[in-house]
Amino acid sequence: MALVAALLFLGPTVLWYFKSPEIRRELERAKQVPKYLVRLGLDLRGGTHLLLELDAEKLDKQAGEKITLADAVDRAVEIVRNRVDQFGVGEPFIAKQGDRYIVVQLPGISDPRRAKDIIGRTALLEFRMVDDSSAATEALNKIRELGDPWNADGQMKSEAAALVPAGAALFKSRDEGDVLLLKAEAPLTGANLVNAKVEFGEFQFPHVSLTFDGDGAKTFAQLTGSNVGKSMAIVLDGVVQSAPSIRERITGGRAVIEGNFTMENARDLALVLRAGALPAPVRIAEERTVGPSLGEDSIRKGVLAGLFGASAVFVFMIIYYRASGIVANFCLALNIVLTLAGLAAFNATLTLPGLAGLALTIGMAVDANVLIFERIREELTLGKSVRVCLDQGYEKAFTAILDSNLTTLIAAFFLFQFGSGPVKGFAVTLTMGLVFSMFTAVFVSRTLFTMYYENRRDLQAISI
Amino acid sequence: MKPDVKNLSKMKAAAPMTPPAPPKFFSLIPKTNFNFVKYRHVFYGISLFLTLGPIALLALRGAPLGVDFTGGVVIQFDAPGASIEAVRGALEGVGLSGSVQSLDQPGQYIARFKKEDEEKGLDARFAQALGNIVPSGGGQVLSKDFVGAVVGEKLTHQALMAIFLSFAGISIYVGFRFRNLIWGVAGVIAIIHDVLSTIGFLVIMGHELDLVIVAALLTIAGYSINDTVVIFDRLRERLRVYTREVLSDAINKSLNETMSRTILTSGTVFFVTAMLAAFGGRSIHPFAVAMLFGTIIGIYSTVGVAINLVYSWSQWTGQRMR
Repeated sequence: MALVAALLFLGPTVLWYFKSPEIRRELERAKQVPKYLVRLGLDLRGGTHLLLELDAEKLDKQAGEKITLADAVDRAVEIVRNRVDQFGVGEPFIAKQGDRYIVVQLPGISDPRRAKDIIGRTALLEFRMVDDSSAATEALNKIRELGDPWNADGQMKSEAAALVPAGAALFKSRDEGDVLLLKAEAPLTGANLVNAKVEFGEFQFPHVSLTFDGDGAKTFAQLTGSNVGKSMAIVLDGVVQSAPSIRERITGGRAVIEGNFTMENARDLALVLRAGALPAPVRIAEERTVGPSLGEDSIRKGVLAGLFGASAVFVFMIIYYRASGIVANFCLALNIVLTLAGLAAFNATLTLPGLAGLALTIGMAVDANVLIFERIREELTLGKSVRVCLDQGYEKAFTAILDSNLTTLIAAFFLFQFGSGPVKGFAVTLTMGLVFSMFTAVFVSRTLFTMYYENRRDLQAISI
Repeated sequence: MKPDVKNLSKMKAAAPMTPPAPPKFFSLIPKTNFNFVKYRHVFYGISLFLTLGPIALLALRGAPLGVDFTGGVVIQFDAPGASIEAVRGALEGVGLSGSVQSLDQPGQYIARFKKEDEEKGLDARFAQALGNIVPSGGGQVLSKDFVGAVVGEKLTHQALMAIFLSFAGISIYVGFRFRNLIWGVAGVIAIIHDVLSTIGFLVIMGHELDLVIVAALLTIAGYSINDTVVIFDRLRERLRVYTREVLSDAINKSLNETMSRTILTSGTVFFVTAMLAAFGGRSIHPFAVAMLFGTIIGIYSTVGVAINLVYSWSQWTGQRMR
């Protein structure tokens, strides 16, 4: 009776599980993933896991007010998500972690470098006027004489900083070694962009064409209108990309970033500009990349090893416990299916240690059955009747099963709490495997025995 | 006894005259009768060696910690047809200084770099080096692990917390269920013993300790305590039923009676783990090897350490074990 219930509960989940591998890839593209799905961890599927750290010290004070760290991280998560969406990865995972970290998981990508670059760029775009006052030009010459105004760790040398006049700021130019003095305020930034795309200019070189929003266009028109003849610098992440001189007032709200771009560079730049600038620079604090070939290899070998182990155990149980061994094997099979279904139901991730966990569950699930069967054998040796032996076996073995599995579960619980990705997957598989093994061994097998012996009350011996 | 002829048919139907012969079971494990308690000092000696040995080893040599704890970069890559010297040369050529070792499959190597290297454009330079070693473009990065300094500390902390808390939790639970804290403490000492000796084993075998190994250690602890509790349970039952039995006899009988179950279960776990170690592939191999050793040591610790500690405690304090 309970058995039927167990099978019913199982059926739907198993069907989903079998359906998913075939249709999964196409559905992934269309973002229609089946609801109950076992996800493959990155170590099995291949892909990159990144942990980004938001540099709290350099929180942008652009809008005048300082934004809180929490807000900054939330905004950064959104921006990273935008960028990743445009990059086109199936099933990415992006989330805040702790107070200043962001977890990014990109399954199946083949070139982590490009992804890291796109995600990690601050992409702060600013438009500033070049400071061409006489004081500034003088200061600039002196600074140029100093050589490199920046230290190895990126801080400006004090002699250089002292020379920078009020209202101006020093910026590196894209051309090696050159510096420019720009006005300290940036009236127009990437926040005013409504679009950025790659277009081809003269001589078929790609450049990035920008479109401003309403406010931006107005500001741009005003800026260009009142500064005809002067140079406006386009600054990206603190480096001046170009500083063309303004020939006339521009009202269309469009601008162009030119420079020695390759097609890919231009595309990536347009991408990050569209997605928006990060509120503060991020650093990659941790990276785990698994190539797809290693992933497939691991799956294949892990499953193979598991199957070998399982078959050997099956055979052994039949030899050792004869017909009761078949009962035990059924419980074992049910256990595995339930565990997998459980993983699917919770959308859990199956990792490589998780596969190992499944294999280990096979070994351990046998334990509960062995405890019961050995107990039954003992009782039979004492000469009691079969029904009594069966009942006694289950009852006496129960406390042993309960206590022993619970203690293992305690260990698994803490593994889950304190483990990272692959280890968490292992803890989940282990826990489910153990819980279901208790269920199948105690409940299901007893039901089977009861069903079989229901009609044979005077049984003198059972096959065990 | 002369059968009552009048009621013979009734009697025949009711019960057989003699008890039936005990059923025969297929059993590979002979009924043992080993006096575990008597040899407990031998066990203690062995265990001390197994635990203090690794501690000494670690103190002298230092723990071979993996990237997860120290921070740094580890790259496994495929450079078909390239010799290790060529690989080293190419890496030096792009300004990367790291150690290179070959892996089990020819043409596959593992390189380790310091965490500072990552921040200086490791990816680009490595790709360049790989392109130099295998001009045809067949070189491939199989996996890369980079752990920055802060994350490394955090992971170390998390690993230690996991171990500490789970051990505490286990000892409390066992102590609670068996109504006497000594059972819990004995169990935990046994698993500490297991973890330490497994670490010693791994160090000798040259495996480094990373997060996956920590997971293996916790699993080993879990199985060991599982095993221990089964035997404690049997002992608890015996003490309840045979109240006049001397503790040492009770312990020995419990151990011997459960021996078949112990060997069977550990046998299956061992076999499955052995399959994983042999066929599971390179990534899971260190985990599987750790588990192999740990399974055996887990059984030993239950039999040699935990149960004997309970006995020694009762001898020492004169407490009656219940």
